Amino acid sequence: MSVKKLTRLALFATLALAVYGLESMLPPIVPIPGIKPGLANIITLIVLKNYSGRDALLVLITRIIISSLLFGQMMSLLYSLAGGILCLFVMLLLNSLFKGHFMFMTSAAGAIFHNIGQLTVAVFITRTIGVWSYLPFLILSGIITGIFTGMCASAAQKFLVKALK
Amino acid sequence: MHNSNPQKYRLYAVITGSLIAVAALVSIVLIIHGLDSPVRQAPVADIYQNGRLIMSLDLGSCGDRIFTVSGDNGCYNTVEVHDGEIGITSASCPDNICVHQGFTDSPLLPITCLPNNVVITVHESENSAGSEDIDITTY
Repeated sequence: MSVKKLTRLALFATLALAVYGLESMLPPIVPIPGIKPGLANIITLIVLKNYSGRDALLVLITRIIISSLLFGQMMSLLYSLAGGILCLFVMLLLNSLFKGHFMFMTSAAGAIFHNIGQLTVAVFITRTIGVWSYLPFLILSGIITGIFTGMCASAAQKFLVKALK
Repeated sequence: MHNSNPQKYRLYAVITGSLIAVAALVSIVLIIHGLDSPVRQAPVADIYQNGRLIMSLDLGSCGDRIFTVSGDNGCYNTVEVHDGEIGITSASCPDNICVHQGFTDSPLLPITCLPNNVVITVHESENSAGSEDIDITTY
């Protein structure tokens, strides 16, 4: 990995961390656990589009590990890893199928699977089947927030195309 | 080979978009169905901590009460039963989403505090006639 690329990926990881930190200070929009804007996914999506799935995974894992050390408990590490990695694999697949177009759809599908991953971990950790009843709420919120973050990413992409040359 | 069908990505997009739309519709139907389900008779609240059922309360007959569910490392959730509804009124978790969920007597959504691993689910009493003498059970 070139120094230039390493520096840029580190910068993206820092940006993701800052966005995640800011988001965690916002009051919850809806009083349902697991529903949040997921703004840090904008950065994952941008790295995925401009670099590769491997680089996006690197930035994602860096962000998750540092953020749970800084802001959360070890418990949130499990949730974030399950959601984040599942989300990234779905976005990787769709991004290659769509050849980089329709980022809002890539992001929406990723967000749905992020929430499914987190809910699965929640069911295992709480050992309470009733937690599944959050699923329709989480799918719906994933679609809405996913479309929003996807649109943010494609808006940012227009400016980044020149900057990342 | 990649350029043999340059429009193919649009087809994939249509398929994915349809799947997302179907998922959205099914979710909306499920949510509306859950909201529409008739008000339950004799709701019973089960309180789980770390996956273990620690308390079962008949909301109809147990009366108003306030108690604390304590966990490891000083974690706590203060649970209140008020007018036949149950809720968490204060908690040691950082986000307090469990407190924001308010009071409920509906089986639609459990009250969940993920950081403290406390879940409160409401279901209809198996003996829905409500003639059971037991109004609280602890395990």
